[in-house]
Amino acid sequence: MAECKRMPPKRSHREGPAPEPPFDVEGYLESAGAARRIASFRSGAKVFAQGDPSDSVVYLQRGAVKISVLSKIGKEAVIAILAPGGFFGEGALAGQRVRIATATALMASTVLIMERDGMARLLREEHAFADRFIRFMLTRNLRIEADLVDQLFNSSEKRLARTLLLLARYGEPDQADYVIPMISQETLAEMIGATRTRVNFFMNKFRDLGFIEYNGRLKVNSSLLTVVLHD
Amino acid sequence: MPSPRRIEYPALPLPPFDLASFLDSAGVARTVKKYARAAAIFAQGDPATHVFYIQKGTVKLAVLSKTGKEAVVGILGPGDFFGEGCLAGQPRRMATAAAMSATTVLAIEKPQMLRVMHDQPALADRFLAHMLARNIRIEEDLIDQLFNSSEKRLARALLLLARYGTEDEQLLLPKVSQETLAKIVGTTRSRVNFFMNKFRKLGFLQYDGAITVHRSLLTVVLHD
Repeated sequence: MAECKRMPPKRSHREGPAPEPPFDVEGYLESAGAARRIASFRSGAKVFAQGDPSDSVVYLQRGAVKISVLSKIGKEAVIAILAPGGFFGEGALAGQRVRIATATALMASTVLIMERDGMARLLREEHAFADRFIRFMLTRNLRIEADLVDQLFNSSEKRLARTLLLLARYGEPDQADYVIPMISQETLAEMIGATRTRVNFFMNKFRDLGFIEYNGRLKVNSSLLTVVLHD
Repeated sequence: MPSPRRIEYPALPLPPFDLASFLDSAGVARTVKKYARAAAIFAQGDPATHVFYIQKGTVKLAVLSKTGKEAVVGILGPGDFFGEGCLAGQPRRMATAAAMSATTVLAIEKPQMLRVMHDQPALADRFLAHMLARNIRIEEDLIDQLFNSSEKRLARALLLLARYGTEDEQLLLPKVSQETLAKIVGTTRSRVNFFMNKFRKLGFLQYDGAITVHRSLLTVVLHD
């Protein structure tokens, strides 16, 4: 096997999945002969639903995907919003027989669906691929842990401010403008564990204070940081 | 390399794995460290230079807020890794790791860990299994916070601490204070005390020296 030289990204990692350099997942899949297929989804379409059989791991090539869970009484919680380069449905590798969450495209999205056993074999045989996957999973763990801490410590107002900054990828060097992909107040409410009314109230407050701007799209100003940093 | 086989990554806790002799045979430097109950293994803000593997004992991962509030994000046992955030490029510890009982850990330097994961697929497998299981667990904790009442969260935390769902027949609760329980669940100590008394009166918990968790406590978690 050819030795693969990898350099860790230079940027310091704070919170949230880092944008990874382009990576030829398809190349690896072809070389390993793993069963895979490409699928496209319209905005709002489900990639998989909670309760579906869990027999594949999905790689997001293009678009954005929301991972959410429905409680028995019909309450929804959003546990992640994934960007291109992200994996989801990896619970299949941990022996999960059915999906414990629903994956929904938030915009037109293209994914690679990799059959479970082929994915496991690839992880075991291709180091560069396994590195990339482990790095993604570690970063995702850190993010979910931070979300959990946020829930345990902070008010819903602070949680909303933090979520908006993370969605806008605040602090990343290649960003000139912090603009958020189209996202409803309902989804925001499900991400922070509050009601839509509360989200609406705080969004208006943030706008009045000049922390965010609406004109077609939602722009986040760095002054929103004061809400997160202030105790 | 062995012929392709079906690889299953089970849920936590993972079966014990003799990492020490594994690392020795692979020629990887590692240190064995012993900690007394309540001793800190590393503190939030420390440089993140090592990955740890628990051989014996229990480790609590807690985060301190700026106002001094503490939240417990994980309680780990033998066979678990921790401090793995450094592999994702985390320069400093985001949490404090402390021993909850007499604990023995293996400390492996980050570059060594990266190297051995490359050279030894068995270790990479094992680490990945841990990561995936931990990922699922934290995700469930987050969902629990978003959906459930503090009473339900406490019931779930007690069942998980007693390792409900593993082979152990006796659901004995490890020694853990009501204060720590409050920090796991995200509520006050007095609320925990109130529910613990309620659970005991309903026969869900039994106190005699140690606390035994009864499987019937599940009804609190499952009931809507």
